[in-house]
Amino acid sequence: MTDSSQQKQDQTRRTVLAVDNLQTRFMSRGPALKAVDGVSFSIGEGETVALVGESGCGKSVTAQSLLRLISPPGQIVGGHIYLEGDDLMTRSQSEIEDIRGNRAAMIFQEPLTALNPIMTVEKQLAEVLHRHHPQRRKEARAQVLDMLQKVGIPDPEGRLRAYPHQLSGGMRQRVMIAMALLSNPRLLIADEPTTALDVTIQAQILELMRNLCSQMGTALLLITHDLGVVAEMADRVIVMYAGRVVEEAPVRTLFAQPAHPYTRGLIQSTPNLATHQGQLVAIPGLVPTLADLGDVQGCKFAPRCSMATDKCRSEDPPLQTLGPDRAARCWYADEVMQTVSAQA
Amino acid sequence: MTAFILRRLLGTLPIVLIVGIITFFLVQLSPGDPAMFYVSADAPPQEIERVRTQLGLDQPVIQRFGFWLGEVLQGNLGISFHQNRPVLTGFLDALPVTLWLAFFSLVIALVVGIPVGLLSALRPNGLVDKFSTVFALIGMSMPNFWLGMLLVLLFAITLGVMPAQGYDPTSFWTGFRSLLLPAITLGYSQAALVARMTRSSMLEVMRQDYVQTARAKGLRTPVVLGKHAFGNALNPIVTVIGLAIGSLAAGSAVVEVVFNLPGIGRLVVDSVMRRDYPMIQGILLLTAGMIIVINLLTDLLYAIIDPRIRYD
Amino acid sequence: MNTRDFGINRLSVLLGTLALAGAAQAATCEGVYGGELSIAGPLSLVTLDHMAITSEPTAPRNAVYEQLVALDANLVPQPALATSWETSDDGLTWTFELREGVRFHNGQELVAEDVVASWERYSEVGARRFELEDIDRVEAIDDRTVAIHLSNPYGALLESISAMSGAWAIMPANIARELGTTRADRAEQVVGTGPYKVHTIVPEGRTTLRRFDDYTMHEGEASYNAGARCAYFDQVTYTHISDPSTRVAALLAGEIDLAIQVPGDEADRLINANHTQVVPTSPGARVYFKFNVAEGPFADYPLLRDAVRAGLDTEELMAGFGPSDYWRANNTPRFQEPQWPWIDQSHHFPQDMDLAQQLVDESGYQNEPIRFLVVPGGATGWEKAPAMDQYLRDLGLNVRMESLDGATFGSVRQNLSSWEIKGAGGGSLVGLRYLDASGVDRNGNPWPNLPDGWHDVLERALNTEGQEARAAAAEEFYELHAEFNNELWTGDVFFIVGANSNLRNIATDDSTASFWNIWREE
Ligand SMILES: Nc1ncnc2c1ncn2[C@@H]1O[C@H](COP(=O)(O)OP(=O)(O)OP(=O)(O)O)[C@@H](O)[C@H]1O
Ligand SMILES: [Mg+2]
Repeated sequence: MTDSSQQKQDQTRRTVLAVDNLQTRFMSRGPALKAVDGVSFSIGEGETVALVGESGCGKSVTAQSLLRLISPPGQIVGGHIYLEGDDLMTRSQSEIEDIRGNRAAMIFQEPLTALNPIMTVEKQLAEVLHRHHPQRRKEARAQVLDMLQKVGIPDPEGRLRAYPHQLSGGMRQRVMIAMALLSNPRLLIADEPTTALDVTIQAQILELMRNLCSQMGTALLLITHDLGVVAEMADRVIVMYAGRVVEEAPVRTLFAQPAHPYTRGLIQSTPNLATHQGQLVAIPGLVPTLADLGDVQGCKFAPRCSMATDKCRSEDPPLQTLGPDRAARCWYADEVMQTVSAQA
Repeated sequence: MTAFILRRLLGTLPIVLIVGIITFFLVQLSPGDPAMFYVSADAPPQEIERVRTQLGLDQPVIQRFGFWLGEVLQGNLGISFHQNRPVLTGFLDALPVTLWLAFFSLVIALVVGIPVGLLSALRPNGLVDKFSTVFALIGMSMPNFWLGMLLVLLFAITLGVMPAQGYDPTSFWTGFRSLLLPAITLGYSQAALVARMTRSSMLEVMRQDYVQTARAKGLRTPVVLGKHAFGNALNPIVTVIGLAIGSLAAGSAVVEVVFNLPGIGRLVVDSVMRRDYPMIQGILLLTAGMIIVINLLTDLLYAIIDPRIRYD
Repeated sequence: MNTRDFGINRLSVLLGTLALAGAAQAATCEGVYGGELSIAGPLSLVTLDHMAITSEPTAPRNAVYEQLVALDANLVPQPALATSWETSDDGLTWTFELREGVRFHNGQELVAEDVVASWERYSEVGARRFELEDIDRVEAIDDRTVAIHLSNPYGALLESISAMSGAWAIMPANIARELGTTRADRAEQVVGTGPYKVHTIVPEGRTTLRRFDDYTMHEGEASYNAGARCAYFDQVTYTHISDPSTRVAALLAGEIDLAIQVPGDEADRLINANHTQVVPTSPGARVYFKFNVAEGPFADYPLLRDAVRAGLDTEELMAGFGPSDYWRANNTPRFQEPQWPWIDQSHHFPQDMDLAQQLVDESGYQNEPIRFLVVPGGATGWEKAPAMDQYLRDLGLNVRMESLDGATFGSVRQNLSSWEIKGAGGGSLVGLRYLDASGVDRNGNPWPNLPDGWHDVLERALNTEGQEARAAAAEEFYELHAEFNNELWTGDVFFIVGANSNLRNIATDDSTASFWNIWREE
């Protein structure tokens, strides 16, 4: 598939989620931490978008903000979140609760701790149906069984009365997925759904998610810092650094021709992707804490960037559109793209 | 599970026996002569000796122990010196008051402690939380009898709406009325403890991923807190309740004396004062047994609350 | 008031041999009948067996049971179930005439055989039968006449048979025999002739008495346990409230009518409330200290006892018992001074700290440790201990106070190597038996160095024929006792009865809180 044909396909998709200038802060004794600092992106029906970046860059906070799950001291201080055109920021708490787990669902990283240890699988699943579709109470069990079947749990009948600790990690994550998909959501947010699982199980789970989402036309926001997973799963990729989007591109384009030095660094530091280029390069410097970044003038990545110039250190670059579906936050995006091509 | 309960119950027998042996020697070797209470102040030594013989105190203590142990193993706790009737009868006469008192104070501890703890966990450092911190501090530092006397002064003497003392078992209602002030006295400090424990346990649980999951499912806040968070916060609370029952047993001695309730607590205090050896030994033995059973029940409760805990 | 009231002449205590049936004035019960009286006292009640001694209140038993004779407020035996008595010339046979028409609570009529059977039981279980060892046998001469045969003359017989606890109570012959040595704990076993009969006994809970309608009144004015008894209340309940503050609270809350033993420091609450009153009851309890005269410094240096006596400020010491209405100090506890109330006390040495100090120096005391035993409760109590402790320190004695609970105290004091001075208390009315006991330690051994003639004089005081001879013997005995100086009597505390203000006729001469003549004025 060429870039342009993919593009065409994207445009025909209906937009499920559109995020516009989202800002989430954590109030602390010092200056507020800008965990999410003006993030915008969108996801279409059936599309899988990966959100990547180093630990602490704001992926989870972004995800939680989307369902307004941020609680004090965190606070969403600006922006809009449109789910199929509805602005969630203007909804009441009760309306948001009607949407959560219904039109938009979420899966968390730790399958053991994310399931309630003292409730049976059946109760935790049926609860979603009871909450959002009380009129279908009677069929709840049948639906739960059906969904467990779909996520590939053997002997679903037998598992209904199991407690989470009686299931393996992979099974638990399947249960989580079943729980999230039960009410047929338009948007599924998966925050590092496979990080805690071993590699073979990881692949199965990802495969499962992709199949189910495409069957049901569910938009998938997949949060990960594993670029291998991104390459497998995503249609499009959003790269975050220090609470901001630094690059956005279709998956192939991104790997073939990253436009931001940070993205390039990420790719080079990932074994599976980097090995064919002969060397593994770590991004120099420590991942900065958000508090440190408050002091950084200019580009937030400049302190760690090998290409940084005086301009980078004094002026903060905007997110520049580099073409349809492409953008990067770098003064030298063109040069970056070229050097990568040259290397290739 | 049944096997576990049986094993535990069998395992408690030696403990009860050891408690019995220790209390026997503690009681019998402590200074003081029970015979003193059954002779006049100017009685000559022969008279005292006669009473000692009558009470069986002329035998060497080791021989008395052997006899007592033999009887206890046959389920016979002996005859109270003072009451002149089987220890068990005296104990069972006094037991209902103490059980009701413990029950009501536990209800107060839970009915007050849990909601206050929940509310303060909901808004840490909020108004309720600050108020409950003060409430807990007072509860844990004010001696039981002092609170009891204040309550009596206010509700019994000044307002005249509650009895100042005594237990009227005519009906459930009169019994409840007699026990309300004592139960508040006893339950208050426990309520404070339960509130603090509920608060910290809830705060801990509310940080857990599954609470986030529950919220992400769109569940209403009361369901998230009541079902998902509170259910998981229960274990430490149950521990505190188990401990509370133990301290209720201890605290009831003071409260029963202050409120003149004819329960086990007052009986044991009186029995110690008059050196009623069989009664003291019997009460301690039976109370130890009861506390051990309560501990067992607490452990079983853990398993009911948390399916991860299994006893087999 | 502390000194003036003190010299009440109670010499008669020792002299009441041939008391005559008092001028039999018909007792008039002019109070208001009806209602219920609720009493609370510090002791639990599980039995009303009058022959046994338990740590239990005596008033309910004295309301249920009666004896042949009864003590009045001067400790003089007065007619009770016996209306008159006489002694044979050899002093070995006492013959009692029984009152006519007396009925037991179960309807049976009192006959001489009941007295005999009661004696037989008493001689087996009676807690004070050691006083009556001289009784050979009791004989029913006819239905109305009983003879007591003694092996030796015993001048204090009437006092001993009128003891108010561990008493030779008269009960129906069949019940006495049926009970034998078992304690009468159940209501139906407790049958007497008194103005109230037992209705229910809930052990450690509540005992309920009801008026006995067929009660046969005794002649004479009500005085202590003797005289007329008018049972005004239909029902009397006795509850056990061990904590004194709770008793006061119950009285203030109107839950009880009468609280026995109100602590001095709580009396004001009752005085200030308008529906309650306090009634101090004399004679109360004697407050004294006992020196260990067998071992240790007080034995080795007798002058040290005099020293302690010389400098003591008894008023200050007694002030520990609360407002001065509730105690009186004995201002004559000085050495060489008679200390008994029925002896003339018109002159006494003033308190003299310098003299005391001088006596300490002269005594030869070498700063040996002095252990001072204290026990809570009543006259023996903690109330007087701190002041005494301080005083002994001021005197320069190397004193260490040890507080013990009652039962521990009871056994520690038996060991003469374990204390030097101890708090003591007892009834303020002192009978002959007590004098006897003051010469022996708790093991029944005579104190060493008793003055010559101690036992002789005591024997004469007990058994000599003729009032004057006995009085002279008693006087002689007190001289010896004062000389011996092994006890330090500092005063008396009165038992305070707290009561609802609507109660009338609460006996002020009875610390056991007898209730049979009380009525309620609506
Ligand atoms: N409850 C909180 N209170 C204060 N700061 C928070 C809180 N949660 C997150 N943060 C801060 O927000 C920033 C973003 O955190 P976030 O959890 O979104 O990172 P992430 O990209 O998901 O990292 P990871 O890959 O480790 O999951 C971090 O610097 C973190 O310290
Ligand atoms: Mg994260």
